Amino acid sequence: MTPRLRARGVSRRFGALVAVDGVELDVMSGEVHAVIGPNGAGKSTLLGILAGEVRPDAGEIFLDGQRVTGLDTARRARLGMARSFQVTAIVQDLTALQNAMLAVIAAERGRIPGLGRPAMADPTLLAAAREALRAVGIEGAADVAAGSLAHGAQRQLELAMALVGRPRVLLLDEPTAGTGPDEGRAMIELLRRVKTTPGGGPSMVLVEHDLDAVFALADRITVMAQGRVIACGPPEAVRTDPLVRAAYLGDAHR
Amino acid sequence: MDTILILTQALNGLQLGVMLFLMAAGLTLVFGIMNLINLAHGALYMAGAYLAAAAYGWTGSFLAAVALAVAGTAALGAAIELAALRGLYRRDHLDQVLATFGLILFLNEAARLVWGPAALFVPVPAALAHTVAILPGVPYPAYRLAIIAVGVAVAGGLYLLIARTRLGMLIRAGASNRTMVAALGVDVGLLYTAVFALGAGLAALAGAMAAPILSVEPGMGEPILILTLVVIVVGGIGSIRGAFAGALLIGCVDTIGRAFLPSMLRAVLAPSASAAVGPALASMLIYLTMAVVLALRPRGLFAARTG
Repeated sequence: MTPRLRARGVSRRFGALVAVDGVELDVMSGEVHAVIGPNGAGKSTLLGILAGEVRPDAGEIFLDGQRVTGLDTARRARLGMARSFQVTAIVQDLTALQNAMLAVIAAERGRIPGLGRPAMADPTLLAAAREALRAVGIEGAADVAAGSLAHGAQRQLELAMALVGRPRVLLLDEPTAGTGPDEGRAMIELLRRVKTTPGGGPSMVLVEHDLDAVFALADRITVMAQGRVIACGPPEAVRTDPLVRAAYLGDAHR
Repeated sequence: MDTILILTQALNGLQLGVMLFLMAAGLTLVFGIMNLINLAHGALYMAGAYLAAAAYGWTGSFLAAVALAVAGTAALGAAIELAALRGLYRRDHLDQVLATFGLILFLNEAARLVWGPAALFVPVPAALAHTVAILPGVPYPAYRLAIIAVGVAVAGGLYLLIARTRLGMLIRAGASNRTMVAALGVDVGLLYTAVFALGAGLAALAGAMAAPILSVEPGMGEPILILTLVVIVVGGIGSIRGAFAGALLIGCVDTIGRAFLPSMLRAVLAPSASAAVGPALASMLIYLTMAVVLALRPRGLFAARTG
């Protein structure tokens, strides 16, 4: 079976620092694949390479068997790769609804003539945007400026926008970062719902520091240290892997 | 009568203001969205004026000349963006200033080569070559009133474009967070080219409308570029509303200051002193205005929020 998303021998150096070193990663259809590792392990750089923001020095990326290594972020997004950012990426001075409308407009693959069409008075567009907010449970905040939303709600909004185009792959960069304990739990619950979307949820690559979130969601876990993959497998196997415990988990998770 | 003079000068200020708005709208969008300092924006204004003069020569119709000038300059802007500016977005502002200053020299010299060093003149269109009594016994040129009307209409249209359309939403989002917009699947390069062409078209509209009241010559874009830079700083970089408010403010301050400051100084200073100080102070007035605005609101009147 062809993996949905595959990284083959991906490397990237920044000056003398080898941030990502020959990484192999297979993400199967519908799988939640967590990438964990200590700070500086190269997780975010790997996610950037998968998303098309960071050019790898070596290696190839495939989406459903199609080579996408040379494509930029926007092209990959149009092929069905959505992502969330470590620092919440929303337009602060637009309302939550307008942010969602933006995602709908982007997903329309609009050409320039279509772009002149009215946005604020288009019932189809408004309905699609409201539906996107409802899917993550923030429809009540539709008319609030996105910058004034609570941090957890901002992350939910960002997720709503990423889900609009029904992506095949969702790249998540620390979705619970900066949230309080309740907001974090809500986000985990939300991602679990996305995973079990009727008709099949997107494959997810989850870069996350919060190990509770990782063990609650992941089907498989890849552990990175100093740019390399040191372990990959189901959560239980990774939890008991002596190499991982030495490099990363430490005594806290004995 | 004094009130009549004030009214006339206020209209002159308004007319300069809408011209400045047409210039500032494009410049502030390009700065706000692409983070590009485009000193060649004044050269696009000149290109609009030259193309209007040439097209007027071919067609004999002023409306057709303006339309051709706007379309031609928008296409020229798109070509310049693709060929010369695309590589500059990630460079620092000094590199951008150097490169776009080079473009000024190139375009000025190109205009000199094609049309010669002498100024071209475009007649005021016959339908507007009369005066209108704005008050009984107070005539004002119809053409200048038409400029004001066109400028206000374009400002309204631009507001609707930015606030109400899909393209406008993408432009606002692109100004705030380009990484996010790209991650949503928007071709940011195409968006930038479109925005730059839009700005070039607006500059050309200003240049074409200025052609009958100014002489069309190489270098005509630089004085208005300086004023435009003051406008977008006063208005708040990246903000269309700010560009509109700033343009009207600077247009009126500059015009009214030049008209009245010397005579006002005569009331408090000796004639010889006021004759020396008056014009100098009048030409400094817009910079004093900018300093006051920035002291009160360091990010301009309508700072566009980013991040």
